[in-house]
Amino acid sequence: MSLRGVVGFCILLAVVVGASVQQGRQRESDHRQVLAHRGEERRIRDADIDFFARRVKEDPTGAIDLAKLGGLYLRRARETGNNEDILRAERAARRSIENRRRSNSSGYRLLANSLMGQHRFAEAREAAFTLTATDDADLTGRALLGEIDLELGRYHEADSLFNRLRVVRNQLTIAPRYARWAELRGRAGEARRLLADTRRAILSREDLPSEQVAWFDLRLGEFALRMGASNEATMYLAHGLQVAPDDWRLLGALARLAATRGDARETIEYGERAIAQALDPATLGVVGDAYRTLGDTGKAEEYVRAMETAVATQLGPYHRAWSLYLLDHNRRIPDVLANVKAELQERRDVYGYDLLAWALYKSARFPEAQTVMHQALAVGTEDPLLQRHARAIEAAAAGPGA
Amino acid sequence: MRHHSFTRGQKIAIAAVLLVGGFGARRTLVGSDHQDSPNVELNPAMDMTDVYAFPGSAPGRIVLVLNSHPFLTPAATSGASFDHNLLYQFKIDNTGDALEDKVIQVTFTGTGASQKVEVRGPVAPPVIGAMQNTVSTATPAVTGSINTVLGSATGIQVFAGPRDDPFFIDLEQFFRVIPDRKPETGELSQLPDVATASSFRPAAQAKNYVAGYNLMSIVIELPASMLTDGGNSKIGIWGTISR
Repeated sequence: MSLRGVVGFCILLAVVVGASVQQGRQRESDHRQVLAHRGEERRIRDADIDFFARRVKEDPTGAIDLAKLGGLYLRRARETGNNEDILRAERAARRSIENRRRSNSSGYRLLANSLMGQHRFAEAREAAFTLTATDDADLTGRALLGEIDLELGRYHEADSLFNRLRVVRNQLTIAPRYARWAELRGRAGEARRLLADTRRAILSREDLPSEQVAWFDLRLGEFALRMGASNEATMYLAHGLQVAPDDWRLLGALARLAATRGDARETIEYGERAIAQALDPATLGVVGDAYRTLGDTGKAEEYVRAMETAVATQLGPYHRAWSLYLLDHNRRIPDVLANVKAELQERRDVYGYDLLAWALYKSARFPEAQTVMHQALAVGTEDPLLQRHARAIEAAAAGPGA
Repeated sequence: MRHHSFTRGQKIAIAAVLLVGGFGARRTLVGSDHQDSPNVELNPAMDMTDVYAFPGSAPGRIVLVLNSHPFLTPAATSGASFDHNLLYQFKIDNTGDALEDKVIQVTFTGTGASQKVEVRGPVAPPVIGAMQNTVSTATPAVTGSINTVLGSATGIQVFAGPRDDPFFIDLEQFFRVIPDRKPETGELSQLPDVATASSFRPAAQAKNYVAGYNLMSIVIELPASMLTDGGNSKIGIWGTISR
């Protein structure tokens, strides 16, 4: 190479290295800024909690401040995974409603949401029903009632509610619920489009907490993950992580995504970052499996025990992700079967039937599993997990010679 | 207090209407609205609470105030700014036909404490009507940072930034006094409209619900003649925020 060529190459190399270092510094600086912003949001949230707690003390007969205080508790519960805050929100909602039974939509909304957070869906439905009955103009209340109906498997009631909300489906508080309905009723494409449109609208706003912005990335990422679109899931979840780098739900979803790719080390990396924020049972299970894949059965069992402990501290009747984990690992199948049957008395949704069918399949009760799986599929939900379970059950019911 | 609610479509909030006669001689406050529709509840930056007009710091001067973004908590106030996607307008009718003859248009660039404000007008409205958001091509009369007094004391003087909400109401008691809303049909429509209180609480017990909250205020003082154009001194003033 001539001297001129060497000089040229060195200059080019310096430019490339310089640009790369500059980009790295920029990324680091952006990351620091995002973390500082998240810290400021948390500071404001906690200061606001103190502010409203003081106001409640000053006028304990009021309803509005109690509802606002409870709303902040719920937000903190979402951000930290702290169940105590969900219970605080419920208490605030009940006090707010006690102080004013009517013209108190925010009190009833808060009560319904805090009960949903505890998976007490039947009670949540009562609160949401009262809300819609006393304030028929509250469209968010109707969407909330529809969402609870979906959780309870009351699909015809949900159909009726959401069909009437079609013209306002793009509203921020309605879109995610409407999309969930569309997804469960077999219109996954419509659900995805609506969520993506809403996310675009959200990204153009600067007044929303980063937790809410990242939540849409989480929903779309999880949606893509369920549908097996891992590139799309990566895109949304990675964007969400830029907005909220310490969001335990996004980190947990990224761990699950890595697990579907079979990347045990990345699963552990994301999963442990998520667990450092909140002890989510599903994430503990995924990380445990990743350790097992790497041959570390001791560590894997440690995570299973941690998962069990975490499940015991969860609010609500029983944990579905835990049940699915147990079934997939052929553990405590009779217990899970009994729990699922008990829950179906109240909550007859597609995933309840799917879990029952899977528990029956794991109990080698194939014809019963087949019947229950048909009930699950009748809802119309296009979820590869359901399809996978259905195929396994059909094959088992047909017998070895089929 | 009479409570009026004006909601046109989803993109606009129209605040209280003021009639100002002779600048100090007669003023009628018609209403105030905080969080008057679901849309502004979800978009607090476009939630207009009040428009005020009152005599200014010197004879012949008038102060106009347009308040928005209610219920800012003290912790949230330091980072609060106006929405740069919105057009904030004072509208002035000086011919008595309830249509704006002049507008003062206020827009913002940037976000946070370093946000800049631009004030155009008073000028003839580029388009007449509540739903329009066309910004005048006129050069801004005043520009500068928010949270700063801008302009001149003899011409147009402007302040835009957070301020204590001047409105007051014992809102909790208000809800006890008014008959509650209920559905028009069905079982619950049979509920009696019984109020649990018949009047506001005595001053010593009453709680001003708005106390302690801040909002975002646009305050403009200018010679009244810039609004009347030497004509009728009785003018109508209202405000809009539109996207």
